[in-house]
Formats: sequence, structure tokens, C-alpha cells
Amino acid sequence: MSARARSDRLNPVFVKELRQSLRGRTFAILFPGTVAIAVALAITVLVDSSGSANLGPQVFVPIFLVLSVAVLGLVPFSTFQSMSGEWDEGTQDLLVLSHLSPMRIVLGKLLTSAIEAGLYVCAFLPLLLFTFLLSGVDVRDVLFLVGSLYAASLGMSCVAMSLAGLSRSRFWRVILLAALAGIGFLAVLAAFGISESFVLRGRGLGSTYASDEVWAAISAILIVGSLTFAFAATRIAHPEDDRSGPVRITLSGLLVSFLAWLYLAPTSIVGVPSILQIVLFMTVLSGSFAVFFVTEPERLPRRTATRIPKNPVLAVLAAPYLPGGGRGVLWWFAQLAILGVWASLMQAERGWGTGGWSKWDRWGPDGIARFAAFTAYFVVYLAGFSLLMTRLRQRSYGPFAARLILPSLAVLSMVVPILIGFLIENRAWQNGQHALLPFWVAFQENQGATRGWAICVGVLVALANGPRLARSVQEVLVASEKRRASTVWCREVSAHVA
Amino acid sequence: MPALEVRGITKRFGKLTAVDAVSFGVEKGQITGFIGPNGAGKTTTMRIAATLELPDEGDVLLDGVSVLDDPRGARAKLGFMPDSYGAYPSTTLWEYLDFFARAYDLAGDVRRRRVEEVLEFTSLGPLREKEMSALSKGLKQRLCLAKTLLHDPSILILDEPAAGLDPRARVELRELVRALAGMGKAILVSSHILTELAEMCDGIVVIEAGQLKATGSVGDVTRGIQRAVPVYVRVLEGCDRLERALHELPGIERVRREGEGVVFEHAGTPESLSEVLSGLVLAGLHPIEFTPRAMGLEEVFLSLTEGKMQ
Repeated sequence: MSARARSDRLNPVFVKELRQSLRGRTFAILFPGTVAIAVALAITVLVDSSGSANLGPQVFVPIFLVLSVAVLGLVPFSTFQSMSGEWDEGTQDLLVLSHLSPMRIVLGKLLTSAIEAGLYVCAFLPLLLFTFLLSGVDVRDVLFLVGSLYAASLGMSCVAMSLAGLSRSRFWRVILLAALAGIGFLAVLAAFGISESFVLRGRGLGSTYASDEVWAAISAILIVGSLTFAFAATRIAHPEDDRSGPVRITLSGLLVSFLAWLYLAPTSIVGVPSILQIVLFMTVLSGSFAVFFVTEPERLPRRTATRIPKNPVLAVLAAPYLPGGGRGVLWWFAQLAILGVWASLMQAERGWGTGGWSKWDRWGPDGIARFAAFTAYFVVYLAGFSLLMTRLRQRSYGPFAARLILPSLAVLSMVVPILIGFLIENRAWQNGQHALLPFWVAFQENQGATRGWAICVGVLVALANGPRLARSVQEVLVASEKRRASTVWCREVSAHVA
Repeated sequence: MPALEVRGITKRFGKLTAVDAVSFGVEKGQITGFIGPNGAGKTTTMRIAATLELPDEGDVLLDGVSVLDDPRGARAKLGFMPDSYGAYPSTTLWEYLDFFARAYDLAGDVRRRRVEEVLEFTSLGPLREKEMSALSKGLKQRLCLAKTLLHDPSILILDEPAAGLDPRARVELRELVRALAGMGKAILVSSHILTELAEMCDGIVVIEAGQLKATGSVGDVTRGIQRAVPVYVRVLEGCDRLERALHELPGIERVRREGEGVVFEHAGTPESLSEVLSGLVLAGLHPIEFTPRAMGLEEVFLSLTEGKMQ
């Protein structure tokens, strides 16, 4: 394949952005500037600490810090500017009108960030590897830290794109830029902390200390990066396009990947997890994301309706991943089903929680009852409260307002009884031992009756949501049928014309 | 069937009805002026036709393709030039066009040839390596038009293309638009410069407060609202006699002096107007100027609209 043909296959946004950024004044000044600062710092430390036994780490840390600032601060800043420029310069409409999908646009911008960060890494890597010659730094640690930093830079660029897409108002964009600076600062601090821990405290790859930090950092980068990437793509899409589906699919993908990893990884790596506690934690986490989905307007966006599978079975299966409040509830139920299946598989496969393990670990009748009671509260918060806000959600500001009100109501229902406990001097309520606190009901002993009541209320709320959920699936089926009918009509017209 | 067919579109923003059951069409090879006061709903209508907004009711068909059912198919037939478009900093003209050509999935030699063609058509070829930030407003508008033509759309929607242009740039843009209509493209163009549109357009669509006021060819719309045609007459001598003679002729109204001649309003057919001229000659007057005054687009616009704001 010729170079020209290869160039044709490149993402157009990537080609354009790369030309722009490499020719832009910002990169032309900042790139040599940061390299010069790093070299100057390295020379200063070398001169100051000459003769020191542990010279490598002392030189490594400041250079790594400058690289962190460049790839976690400057590169995401440039990505933020590029994304917000699409709205400020009015080019977003032109992109929407072209054949570029939102995913390709965001991917193009991410690839540009990858090249920019790559250039910084290439410029800094010889300096960092040089510290190995000064002794005290392991090459594997250097490569691992630089690789992780590069991945973190991509994650930060995704965060920058999603923040830039949050608002079209310049005022809010300035606030969001400040937020990005704050996140960048924390990321640089974290990178500094990890690098210091690796090379100065000897907790590198060869040590036993590293694994937790490393896995936590890599997981955080992967989860935050993929979520914010999907979110950024939805923000650049047309408002009547599917702005919810990609995020729902990404979340489900992350959940399944995480659970599959726990299922497949050897116990020596994963340790012995408590099945019930993981399930409850994931219920809360998926419930937090579901707040955004259950508060969407019920109507299926018209442009989404034209892309629903024609096969009715596939259409029903796709329903939880299509926009709409009722379908948001279905999405959350689907996550609960995934969690239930995983827990049962884990119990059957590994037998964790049996013999010797506490009942908190078990996925038996007691564990399932605790899970059901705990879930019942979230059914009330998510399905119940969002059902009450049906009229509010239809207004233009409705989903935003509902996203503030719904979690506030959930928190208030847990906190108000505690405050009342202080008023009426009820010690148990003061300590959060009341029936509206799901954590207490799920974990406390001798709460079988309360758990029973909670499950009953949850079932009633779910039943009250029945018509809403049925309508949300019916809407998908109607759209699917319309698509089938239009295909048949087109075939008949073609046959007639022929 | 019109190339661009707007079918009863309505768009509401909260309580405001920005566009209210508007319908019109633009034929192939025709330039249609879209006029209305600020806030009349022109841009909203154009954005709906360009698939950028969705109507609450109605539909727009581009060469028979619905913007609702098949926005992607509709976009392939459409070139939209928004009122404010953005330039990418640190980008040359050629790079800008190359980017959008790639974005329209044009590949290889086809893409390079197409970029050259639109550069040549808009006479921007010599400036291909110039950065966009260094372009004048007129050149930027031409570049935006070039971008709009990259995928060879059959329908063009131009929102205020002449806004802020100097007279020369305006004339050049007008010539380009005429050339495009000559290629058989259906063109809907909005502008506040009505004299500009009058010289360019075959048809007009007048909209106010979201409601359609008139649509058709400029002549049809003018005839529809102009009950009587003002006619200016000047005779060699005897202006008083002319005035008296006009009062006696049938179908003549509102005779008044204007400068060295007389203006009267005639509500009949062109044949009866010809008879008026013959009558004046027979009455021994010697007409040296006899000019029916057709309404200008500005007068048509003013008589159709009430300056309603929403």
C-alpha cells in the first residue's frame, strides 16, 4: 500500500488536528520549553548531589515530574481547547453534517493527544533512562512508570474532552477548564507520589508493595478513560441522536470485564473476595450511573428510532441500551441480572464463602435476601422517584433538575431520620439504625422482618413501573416494526420501478 | 417534484413557536430568496432543512429524501453554508478543504481533484497555501462556499452569505451563486440585502414571526400584493391637461404630480394600460416618458411584513 493510500485511511480529524497542533505556537513554545526545563533541572541536581551514592533516583524524580506536568497538564489542556474550539468557532455543525461519526471525531482528537504525549515521552525517555546509568533506578521501573504515565495522559485527554463538551457557554467552559486544571494537579501529585514510591523508597516492580498501587492506577485510568471517551462522543453528537447508548454500553462492558477478570483470575492474584460485598458495591456503583439514565425523557429520540434493529428480538435486547427513562430502569435491572449471574457462577465454581468463610462472603439464601433488600431501596430511589418526576423530566431543564433532586431525596431519606433521632433523643436512629438506611438493613443481624418489608415495597414500586417499562419496550418494537415496513415498501417500489 | 421541499414544518422552543406550519419548494436550477425580519424563523427553517434541528411537526425532503427518516442520505445531497462558520487556526486553505473532503469520505485522487476543482471554481487557487486567519471576510465566505461544494451537493442552503461583504465581494459571490444555479443546483439563500436578492433570485419565500407570508416567483408575489401599478408619465408640454385627461380615462386612480410629470395608479391589464397610452396620444398630448413602476423586493417585503418580533 502506497503512502498516499495509507494517508487516505487515516482519521481525518487526526490528520487535521496533528497539522494544526504541531504547527501551532503553543506546542512550538511549550515542547522545547519543557525539555529545556527538565535538562536544566537534571544538571542542577547532578551538580548539587555529585558524589552522592543514590544519584539516579534524585535525578529521575524531578525529570519525571516535569514530564508529568507536560503530559497530564499541557496535552489535556490542548485537547480541551481543541474540543471547545468546535463550539466556539462554530465548526461543530460542519462536522455533524459531514460523514464523520461522533466516535471518529473524538477518536481523532484522542489520537492527536497520543502523538503529542508520545513526542514528549520520546524527548524525555533518554533523560530518564540516563538515570539508570547513575545507578539506583531499575530500567523496568522507568519503562513501566513512563508507560503508565502515557496511558494516564490519554485518560486525562478523554477527561478533558468530556469536560469541554459539558457546556457550550464560554463562562462555564472557563469553570470547567479550572476543574480540569484541578484534576490535572491531582494527577501530577499522584504520578509524583507513585514515582517517588518506586524509585526513592524501593517499592518498584521487583517489590511486593507495588502491585496494589499499580493495579489501582491502571484500573482507574482504564475505567475513567473509557467512560469519559464514550461521554465525550455523546456530547458532540446531535441532540436527537443517541447520546445515552454509548455510555450505557461502555458501563456494561466495564462491569462485565471487571467481573470476568475476577472470575478468571487465579485466586493468588485476586485474593478471596467477598461475593456479597462485591455485588452490593457494584449495585451502588451501577445505581449511581443509572441516575443519569432513569431521569432521561421517556420518548425515544427520532434519529435513534431510525437505527433500531429490524429484528424484534434484537430490538427488545437492545432496549436497555437505548435512550429513555424507562429503558434506563431496564438497563439497571440488566446490570443487577449480570451481577446475580456472576455471583452464582462464582459460588458454584469456586465455592468461596463456604466452609470457614464468614456469611458476608456467601451467595446463599441469606446473602440473596440481603442483596434483594438492599436492591429494593435502590428500586425506590431510581424507579420510584424517577416515576414521580415524569412531568418534570419532560421539560427542557427537567433531566438536569431530576439528576439533582433524585440523589438528594435518596440521601435525605437516609439522613433525616438520623436528625430526627437527635430531636427525639432516639439513640438507635442517631447511630443510623433505622429502616430507611439500606446499608444497616442489609448488614444488620435480626433484621429479617425489615428486609421483608423493604423487598415488598421494592416489588410494589417495580410493579408501579410496569406500565412505564412496557411502554418503553413497546416504543422500541413500534420503531422496529416501522423500519421493517419501510424496507418492505422500498422493496415493493423498487420491484415496481424495475 | 421540487428538489427542496419543505412540508408544513413547525418548530417550538418552549412556548415560542419559531416556525409555524411553513411549506415551500425550490426547483432544480432555481435560486430562491428566503427573506424575513430578524427572528422570523429563517435560520431555524434552514437548520431544519440542513438536518441540524428536528421539526416538531412536518418534514423536509431533499431530492425526495426525508431529513427525518434518513438524515445521512439527506446530508449527502445537501450543501449548507451557515451564517457564522468557523476557521481552524494554523490551517491553510488547502488543508481546510482537504480535511472536509476526507470527512466526506472522498479518497485518493478523487479527493485531490475535487479540492482543486472547488479552489478553481471559487478562484482561491493562488491562495491555497495561505493560512485561514489571514483571509478577508469575502475570501472566507468564498472558502466556506468551496467547502460546501466539496461533495457536489444538488441542493445548496446559504444562510446570509453576503453579510458583511464589501460591494465587490458581494458581486463576486452573486456570480458564483448564479453559476451554481446554472449547473442545475437548487439554491435557497437568505439575506437582508434585498436588492442583492432581487438581482439574483427566481423565486422568493417571505416569512414573519414563523409564519409564511408569501412564496412564488418574484413576479407572482408582486402581482399578488400589488393591486394597482403606479405609472409615471411625462409629456412634452401641458402637465395640467395631462392630469385632466387622466382623470377622464377609465381604470385610473390616484393621479398626482411628481416632479415634471404625473403618477397615476392603474389596476387593469397590460392591454388596458396600452389603451391609456393611446388615449393620451389621441388627446393630443405628446408623452415622452411612460413608465410602469413594478414594486421592488423591498416594497414587497415591507407590504407583506408588519415588523413583528418574537
